[in-house]
Amino acid sequence: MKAFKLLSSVIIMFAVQGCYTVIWTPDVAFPTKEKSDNSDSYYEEIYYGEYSPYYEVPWWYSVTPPTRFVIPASERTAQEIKLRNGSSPEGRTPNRRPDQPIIDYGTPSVDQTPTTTQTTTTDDNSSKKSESTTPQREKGNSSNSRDTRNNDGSRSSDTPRR
Amino acid sequence: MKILKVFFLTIFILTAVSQAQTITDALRVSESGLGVGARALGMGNAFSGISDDASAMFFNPAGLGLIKRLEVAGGLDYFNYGNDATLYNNKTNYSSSATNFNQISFVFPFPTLRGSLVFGMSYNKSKDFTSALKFDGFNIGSNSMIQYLEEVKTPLDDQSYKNSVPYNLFLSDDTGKVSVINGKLNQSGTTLQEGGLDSWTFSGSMEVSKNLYVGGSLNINSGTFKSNREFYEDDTKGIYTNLETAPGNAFTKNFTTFYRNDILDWEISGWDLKLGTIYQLSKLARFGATIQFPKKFTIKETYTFDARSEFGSNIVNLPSDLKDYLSDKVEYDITTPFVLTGAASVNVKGLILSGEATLTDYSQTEFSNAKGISANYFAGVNRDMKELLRAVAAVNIGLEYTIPQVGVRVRGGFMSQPSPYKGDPSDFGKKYLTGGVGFLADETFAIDVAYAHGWWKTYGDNYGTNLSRVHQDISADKMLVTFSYRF
Repeated sequence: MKAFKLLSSVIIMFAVQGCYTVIWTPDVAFPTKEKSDNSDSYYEEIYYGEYSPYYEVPWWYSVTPPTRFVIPASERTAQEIKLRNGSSPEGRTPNRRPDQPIIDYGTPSVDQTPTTTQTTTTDDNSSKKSESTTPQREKGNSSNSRDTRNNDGSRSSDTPRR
Repeated sequence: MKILKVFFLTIFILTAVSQAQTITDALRVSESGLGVGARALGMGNAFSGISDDASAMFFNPAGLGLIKRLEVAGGLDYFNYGNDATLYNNKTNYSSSATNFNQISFVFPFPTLRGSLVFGMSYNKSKDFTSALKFDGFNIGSNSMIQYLEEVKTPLDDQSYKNSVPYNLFLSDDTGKVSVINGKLNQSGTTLQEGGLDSWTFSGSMEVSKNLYVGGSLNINSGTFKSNREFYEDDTKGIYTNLETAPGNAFTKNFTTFYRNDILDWEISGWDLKLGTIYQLSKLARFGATIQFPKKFTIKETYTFDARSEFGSNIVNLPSDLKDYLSDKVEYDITTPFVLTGAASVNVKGLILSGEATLTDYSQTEFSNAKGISANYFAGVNRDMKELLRAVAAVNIGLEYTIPQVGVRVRGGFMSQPSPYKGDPSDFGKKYLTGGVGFLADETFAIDVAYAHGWWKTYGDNYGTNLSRVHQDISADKMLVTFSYRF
């Protein structure tokens, strides 16, 4: 029991703020030789040769620092939205329910006007599409529609978003 | 009152016949072994003030914080125990050996912006119980094991002698009294012991201030011990050829041999905690200290006894029900004392000098939690340990020199562990000379080899006190190879 109490005390001591050791967390830059504040070396290269790096060089100096690459949603461009929402695997039709018939509209013409859909919110807190320049494509569950939840196969563009 | 007398007589029989728990049993798990790691052994195990490899988990867990690369280490050892035993001026050589995994370890240093935080886990063979003894000598005295096992018939109506070994082997008269045999027998025997203590160690260390490290190791211990002892008394001079050892039984006229066999089997379990600290003074020196908290071992013991007597071509075996009566299964705890260590190492241009002193007060060793054994008996043994054992300071010193051009290190060391018994002369203390060499390839793969030769004296009594004493000159040799990979 005494040993347990002592062990607990040591763990608590380690846990308190202000401890000398600062461990790396993903929120900060990965420690490098230049950025680290290391303790004194014991094995100088002049006397210990290759034993010096064996003891003194931390393993994380020789690994590529992990990075976290984040693009804010506000920076997503219309082109990226199109790519993201339309890039389903070959042979699969996004936003199509299994029981829904496939409607073939033929090959789109080169000068086809892009779909622009605007959503407005009414007083009863429901939304509806107020304008569409290409109603046919809208009925065909275009994946370009922002108010359509993609890839869950259960929502059509006709369904108001709640 | 009669029940009380029967109880005490039963205790007497069991303690006289059986290999009752003794100080030797307590010291078996209390005294330190030869440790783990070839680098440490090569330096005489003066490693608590260096402790910058995986064996730090065994020596000084704080040193784990000095490790900056991931390390995987493993080791294999060969141990040989030699014994030159002398009984009545007759010397007999015997030896036994064992090969074991010494260590399998993994160390993981956390990436830090400052300081150090390192965790590790390891399997360590922390002690080897391998030993051997063989003796053979003629006892001219008027004592023998047979007489020692004689049952005392008190009071007159007591029948306990019917459970005595001499009575059942026709070596006593009808009242249990060994009246014919009176020493002058050749005594010989062997004792082989094997097993060891294994520890699963979980360690952590942190740099709590610049160059100051604190660490701890939690050891989950297990192990086995097996002792097989055979003892013979032979009438090599034909002294009892024409005497009936059991008067009235004519076939007992030609007594030739008495034999007993004791087999002791332990299953060991327990846990313990070790805390340590180490301070590095620039590139010049390191200072370390450790506290080994008392280890508590639970021993599940199975004791098996057998005996027989031989009269010419007639052999009398012990009745099976008596064999069962004299054999038993018991359980108890052994608690070892605190162990305090102070250590230092000095680093001078590629030469590291290291030393440490370890204080152990063996008189604090205790038996407890007896199951199947009289608590009074343990109280007596604990009292004996207080009176017969002492505090001792073990000393370890070592050196290591690195030849930087070729990536080779050479080592030497010495260790001294004084005898825990009060009044024992210095040559009863264990002394070891050690040496070793280390190689490093590609800055990542290290091989260390160590050899240790130890020697000391001891003695053991076959029965009674100084009636049939076997003086022993022990030699112990250990070779250890450790592989380490850092990446």
